[in-house]
Amino acid sequence: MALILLTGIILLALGLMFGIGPFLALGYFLLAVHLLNRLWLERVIKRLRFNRQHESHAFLGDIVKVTLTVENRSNLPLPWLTIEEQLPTQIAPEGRATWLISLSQNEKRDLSYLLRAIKRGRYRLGPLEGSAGTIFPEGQDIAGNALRWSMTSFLTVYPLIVPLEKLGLPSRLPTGNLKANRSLLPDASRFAGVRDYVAGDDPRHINWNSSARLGHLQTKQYDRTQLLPLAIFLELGRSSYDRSSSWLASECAVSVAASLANYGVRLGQSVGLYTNGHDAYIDNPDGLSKSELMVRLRQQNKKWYADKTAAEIGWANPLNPNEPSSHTDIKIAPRTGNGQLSAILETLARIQLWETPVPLYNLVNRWTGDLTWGATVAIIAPKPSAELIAAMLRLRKSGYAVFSVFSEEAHGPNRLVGYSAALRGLGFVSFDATNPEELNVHALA
Amino acid sequence: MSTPWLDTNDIPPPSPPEPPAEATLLATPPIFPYTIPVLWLTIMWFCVAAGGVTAGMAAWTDWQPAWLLPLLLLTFILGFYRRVWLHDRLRVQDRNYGGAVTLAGFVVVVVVARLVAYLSDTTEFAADFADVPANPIKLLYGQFLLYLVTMLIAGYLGREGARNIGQLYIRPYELQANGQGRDAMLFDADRRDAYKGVNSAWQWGGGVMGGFVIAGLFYRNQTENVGPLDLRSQMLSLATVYFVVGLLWNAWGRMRYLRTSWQSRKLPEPPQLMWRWSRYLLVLLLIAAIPAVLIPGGYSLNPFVWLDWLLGLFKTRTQGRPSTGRPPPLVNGTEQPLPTPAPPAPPAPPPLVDLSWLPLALFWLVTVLLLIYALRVLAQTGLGRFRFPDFFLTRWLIAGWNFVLSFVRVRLRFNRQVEETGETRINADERGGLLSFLRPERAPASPRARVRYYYKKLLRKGAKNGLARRRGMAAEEYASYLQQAVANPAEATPDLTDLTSRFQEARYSPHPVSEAAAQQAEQSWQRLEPNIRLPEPPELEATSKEQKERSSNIL
Repeated sequence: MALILLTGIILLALGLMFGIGPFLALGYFLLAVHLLNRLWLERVIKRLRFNRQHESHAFLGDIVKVTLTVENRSNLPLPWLTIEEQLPTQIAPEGRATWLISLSQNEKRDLSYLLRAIKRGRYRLGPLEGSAGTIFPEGQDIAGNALRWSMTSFLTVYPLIVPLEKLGLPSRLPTGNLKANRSLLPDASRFAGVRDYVAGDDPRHINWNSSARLGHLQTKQYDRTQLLPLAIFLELGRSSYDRSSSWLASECAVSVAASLANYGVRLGQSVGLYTNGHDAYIDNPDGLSKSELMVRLRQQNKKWYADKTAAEIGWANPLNPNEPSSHTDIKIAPRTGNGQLSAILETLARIQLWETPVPLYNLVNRWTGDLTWGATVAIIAPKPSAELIAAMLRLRKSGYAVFSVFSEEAHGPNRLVGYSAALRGLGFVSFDATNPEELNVHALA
Repeated sequence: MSTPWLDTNDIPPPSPPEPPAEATLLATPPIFPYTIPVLWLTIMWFCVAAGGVTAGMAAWTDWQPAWLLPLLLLTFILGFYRRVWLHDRLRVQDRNYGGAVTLAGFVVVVVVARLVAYLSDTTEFAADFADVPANPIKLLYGQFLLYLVTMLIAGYLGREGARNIGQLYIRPYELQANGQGRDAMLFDADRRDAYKGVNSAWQWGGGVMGGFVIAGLFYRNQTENVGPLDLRSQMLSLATVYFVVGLLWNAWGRMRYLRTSWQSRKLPEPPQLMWRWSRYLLVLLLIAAIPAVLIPGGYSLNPFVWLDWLLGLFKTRTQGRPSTGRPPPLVNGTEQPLPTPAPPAPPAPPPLVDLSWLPLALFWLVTVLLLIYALRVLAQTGLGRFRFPDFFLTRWLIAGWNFVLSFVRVRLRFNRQVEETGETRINADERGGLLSFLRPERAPASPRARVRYYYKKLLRKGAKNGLARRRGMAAEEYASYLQQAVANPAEATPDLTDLTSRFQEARYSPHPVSEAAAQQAEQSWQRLEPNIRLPEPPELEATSKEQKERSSNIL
């Protein structure tokens, strides 16, 4: 189109200079073609609107339908438009998320594709890339101007949740509510008997059947219990895992944590999660790629970061997850309810192995300071170690009920000797969750 | 033979003919004193050498069976290239086929030259020669010039077209499953080159044609009597056809490239895309032709006219011939009555507002703006490999244009954006601008923004009808205020509550807003809209003087 423009300018100038009507007309014609084509394209592209609708959360193995709505809100048509959805490689679309469409004026079109959630994580859908064009090429690229619509949304795929039997754990773990010496709250699930009604008793606790039989009001009596939380400690330091089986073992560990949390919440127990894994969401909530992060950092901190290294800045460098971050641990304090389960599962969906400088056993003492006495502590780690056993001993002496689940033990050479045997000898309850075939992790990956 | 009324002595001696005004101009030194004559001499020599060829070709005009030979050749060549495109397209680039490509180009030259010879009116040249002494060299030159330019351009276009068009089509094995990958990128690069080749051929032709036209114009202005060499009309017609057809050619080449690219990416083409595209192209060209048809051609910045005007400042000119004071001559011995001059027309009353300057001003305004725009775009995008961003003049041009554009946009509020994100606080007075009536407002696409859009309409309507939301008033407070203040609270309250709650959900909730919620908000607003008004004022008692008098009369 640059040539058309140049020719139009020359013809118009010649026509004006020498008073040649045809040149003037031809120059006008060529310039008008260029101008109209350009304005047409600019106006239509400016008024393109997109919307993406899908479920924000999915369980592993679900198929999520994503609907893209494209609307041409201009009064001009758009001859052709190619759209390509930028998707992470970890989740594969069923079919292709690429379209070639033609839109009339004010036309709205729904485009859909299916996503199979085959790996846990928090994934960014988008941005949309594509190209659009009218009749003549506008700009240097004849394939249409490369366009990018920064419309992103996120899909969180929860980790695998399986029944405890599938993990090789007993169906009733040594967790739950304990009968407490100090009375705190009456537990409606623990019926103890009836007594005569006394003014001030809760009318909801009146036993109407007994009252009818005896002729005067009777009130139910319950045992007093104390809510003892379940604290899940998850080791995700890369150095704790064998290099060869780290991915599989860490996925098993995350699944065990998710299943335990689900189990605890279903029992009505308060559950908390403590881990030293890396949550990329904290440093990078928008899920940007490395190059996009670099661009954003340069834009935001152009001057300040100009001559400083990451060490001088003192912050974590989000471009390099191996560098120490200010977020060395992730704590979700014990709570009850489905909201807490959602929070735990969402964190477990995002959490990753990383080169943490602080292993789990160093953080146990810090984390258990907030736990109530008698709480159950579930330690999920790849394999036992001397430091970990020492930490577990300290916890038991402090009054916590401790049990451990190891996700790498079956793969290691010392599965029946060494620290595992010592752990059993010390009377700790420990389980092996090392059956990935049961978890079907391979098939899903 | 003498006439009785004519006294030959009274006839003034013939004065030397006044040179035409143009001759005065042309007496100025030529602009290119050496280049043009040398160029023309060379072409003239070719004209003489090729005279037999052109004469022979001219004779073909009347011998229609002569079409048979080029048509047969063209059929053969097309069949040959069809086979090459389908089976062995890559080898077109090999030197083995160079001869065939040249032959195809030659055939296209012959056919196009024959078409031009057939379509162009050669009698026009004869008419040009009617009052000019016969000059066979010039005759040959004039005809040959037309043929030469046409043949050169058509030949080059034909040759380049034959070479490149095949590359714009997809290769059969690209459609196979294993036809993707690195090869696809290479093929795409081939196709881009082919499109550039097609385009550059057109550019080359345009350059040659423009060069000839410009050279012809300069030559015409340096020649006292143009005569048969005035080929402007033919050249301009050819140039017009060339550029219009060239636009279609350009558009077709690009569409061919795009379709092949989509095919290689296995993107299904939407139905009726080509029909739509052709229709849009036609409409675009027709709309672009409107200014070309409408503008008058009389506006000129002709430097020669300026020079004439400048030289005229130092001349003393007489308007018409001086009167001799004699009676008019006799016809057939009788005195002819003096012609009675027509009564002068009464002078037209001067118009109240003289707007005769308006078309001229509009023309120059549009032209100058168009030129500045075109130069600015050219400066930004560059031309081929040439870029001008660092040139200070283009920098100023771009900066100036952007300033004017932003000024106009801010003043006229052309930059109004539809609120899509829903992050900012809503104000009732967002609309406006001088040309707001030309821009119908639309509801946003996303459901969340659409709910907020209908709440914004509620705020606007309230502000317009005296029920404005005060600063710092929350949504619930405003809703309770409206419930007390509107004329019909019973009808307004359910919809007002619904719209307010939906707005709060859209404004503050983290979860996605459903499409159904947006539709509900729209329905609530449609029911609510007529109820956002103040109650009618009560009937006032008659207090005016007339009313008092009227009441007293009744009493």
